[in-house]
Amino acid sequence: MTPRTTAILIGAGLFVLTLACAGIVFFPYYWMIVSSLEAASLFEWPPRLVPSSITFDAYVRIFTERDVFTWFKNTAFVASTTSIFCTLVAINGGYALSRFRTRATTGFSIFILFSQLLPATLIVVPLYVIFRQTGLYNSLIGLAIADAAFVLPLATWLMKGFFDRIPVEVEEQAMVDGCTRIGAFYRIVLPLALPGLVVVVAMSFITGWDEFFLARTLISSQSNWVFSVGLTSFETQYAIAWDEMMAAAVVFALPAVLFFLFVQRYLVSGLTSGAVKG
Amino acid sequence: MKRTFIRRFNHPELLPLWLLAPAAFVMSVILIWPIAQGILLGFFNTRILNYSAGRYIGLANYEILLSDPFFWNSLKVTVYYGIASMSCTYALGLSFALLLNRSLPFRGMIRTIFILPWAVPEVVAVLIFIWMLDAQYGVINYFFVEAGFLDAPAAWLAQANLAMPALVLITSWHQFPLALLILLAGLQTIPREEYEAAMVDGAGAFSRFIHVTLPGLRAVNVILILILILNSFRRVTMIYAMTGGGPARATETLSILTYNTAFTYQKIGYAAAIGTVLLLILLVFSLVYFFTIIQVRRDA
Repeated sequence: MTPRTTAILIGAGLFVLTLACAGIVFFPYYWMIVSSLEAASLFEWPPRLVPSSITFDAYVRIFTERDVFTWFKNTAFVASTTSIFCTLVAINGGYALSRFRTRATTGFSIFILFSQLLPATLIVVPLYVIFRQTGLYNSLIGLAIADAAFVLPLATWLMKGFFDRIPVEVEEQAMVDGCTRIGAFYRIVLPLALPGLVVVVAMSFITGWDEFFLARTLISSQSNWVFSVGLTSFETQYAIAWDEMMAAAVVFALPAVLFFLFVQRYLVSGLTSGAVKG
Repeated sequence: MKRTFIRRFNHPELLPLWLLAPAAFVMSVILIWPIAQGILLGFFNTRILNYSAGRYIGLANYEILLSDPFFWNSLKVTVYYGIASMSCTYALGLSFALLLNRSLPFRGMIRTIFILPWAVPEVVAVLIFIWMLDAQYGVINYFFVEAGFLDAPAAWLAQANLAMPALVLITSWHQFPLALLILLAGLQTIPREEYEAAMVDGAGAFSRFIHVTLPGLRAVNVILILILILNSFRRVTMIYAMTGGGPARATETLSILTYNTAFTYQKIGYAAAIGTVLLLILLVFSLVYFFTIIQVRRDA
């Protein structure tokens, strides 16, 4: 064999290995989808790796016979409120961090880094008491505010990064043309930062959508359950209907995965650049 | 009078303060104020039911803690989980990063498949794995029995010695994309010339990995490993939804112990003391993290 054919063979072998690994990584996804569509009973041994025939029954049942629609509605409300609230606050904070070097902005940057290491369980214990005392307990708005506060540090930091990429000359020019500083920010800089804004909106939406721990603690009545809480109660609430549970899991995961795929490039470069540059 | 007020209000130096004010307010109320309260609660014997009647008891909670076998068990579980999940997540991330760090057909699509586990909500990841690990019909049991690793299907989540490996499995499946992306970015900063020079010197693939790749990843490795350990110490949702700390406290990390003590056993003061210990541990790790970053920057 010439060295060239060896190289080609090694390349092909590694490609097959990569595909095999991708298959294993993807398998849990596959199993969730297959289990939600399997027409025959899931309780069989050995398990059928390829479904015997496909049915959407489980999807129909979770929407008609279970509370999935309520959970979906509550979650959509919490996630959008979290997203809007968080983005509005993060825009202003991120702009200040990007454009001003004062003691306040330096202090706030440290505050953001520090907030990333706080243990959520230590926060939640007093937060539960505070929410009970202020009437925010068991309210979806209260939950959205808490969710927003938990994403806010990361959102502000991402927003700062997006503003950093817009040259200061843009505002200076606008101010020469008669804009106020604030006017230049909202009318000129913000539209330029639109892609970044979209990322922050999507990122905070995903966080609000996926969140389980705060919702589990700060919401009590079943009519206010969000999807994550409802989903984990499936097992105890409606016997063990794995086809329904997997169908509900697909419905719950779908928006999160789509949004994630949409923002991943930006999110990933934002998260990794710090680690790689040090 | 009004005019000077407005002028002072509009003073350009105050602009960053006004812009930061909403974020600072929200974070103070929802993050910092509860943390301060939590640290304070650690010195009280508060329970959920007698919240306003909690009494100051000094360091008594911390004294109880030192002789509490559940606390020591939890500390051990936390360290075990941290090291095990970090190692597996890192190993998967590095292997896949090496596979993807070459020209491949459909590279973008394959990369997306490798990132997918990270996109799924933690609760969904937990449910899929509970189903796949099911004692009677679980597909993982099927594979393991077929491959000869197990004689008979195992009840992964009901057995104290199997629950932790199961938890590490799901954690590394869900978290390795983070390691993969950071390592992939790190691999791309290693200059091609170094590999070519090593090949000229006659180094094989393994030798190139040891002498070029690993040293090139040094800075990224230190930071990634610390991030993975910090995350595992703080993780709640996944463990809580998967096992709730059981069976027989085999997966009860300090985070979970704090939560269970507060909401299952209703001892808020004691829970706060445990949470404060966790906070201190995280602080120490973070200081190491910051000093490492400074060190790495200086070396670069």
